[in-house]
Amino acid sequence: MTKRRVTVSVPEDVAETLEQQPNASAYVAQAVRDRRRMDEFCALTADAGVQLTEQGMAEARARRLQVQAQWPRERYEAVRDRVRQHMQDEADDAGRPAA
Amino acid sequence: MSAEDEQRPVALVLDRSALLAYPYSIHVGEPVGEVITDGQRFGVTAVTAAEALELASDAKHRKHLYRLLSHDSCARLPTRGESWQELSYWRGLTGRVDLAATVMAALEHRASILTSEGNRYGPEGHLPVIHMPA
Repeated sequence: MTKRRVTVSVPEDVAETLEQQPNASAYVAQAVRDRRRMDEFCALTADAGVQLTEQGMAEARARRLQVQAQWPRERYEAVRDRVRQHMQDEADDAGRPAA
Repeated sequence: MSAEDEQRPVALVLDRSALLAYPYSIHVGEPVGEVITDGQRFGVTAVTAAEALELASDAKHRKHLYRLLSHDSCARLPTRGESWQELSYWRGLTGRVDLAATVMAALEHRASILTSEGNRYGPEGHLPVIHMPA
């Protein structure tokens, strides 16, 4: 991807944060992309007359994290393994000659 | 989109009911918005997208869906041919192939499913489902 040098002025605290980054350019690029994605999404919903709220999003996050806490990685794997085994058993049965 | 952006995890998969409620329901907008704010992606299976576009109420609604599906944080998710047996299992449980594809995508990405048809996914707690009002 083509890169361009841009000079900006930032507050002291932001400058300190950037100085601590091993790759300040990458850090800024990521932050700008994150912000742009959210701005674009807000524009989409606003176009339909829907305004997102910080509180609503915080509540949505709490609900997602609650489900996430109940579903550790192992639980996902267990469900997939169980289904695969079930379907394998069915396939094995289908492959046996009729009695 | 950079390669790093494409590596962002998929945290939430929208099923057909969630997609059809977009963009008019705040119960879809806010969960999707918080995932984007969190630096993650939301996902929609290709089968779900096709179903929702067919059922969308009018051209304006379809336009909104196209724009959502084109968003940088939307992962458009495939259903692989070699997964046909699992797809068949989940089709049997949910009663619809788009829901089956949604379940498979959620399990693969270890994501939650956003839906107003939670009863389609088996008993409470059977799958990682986030319920939203219809």
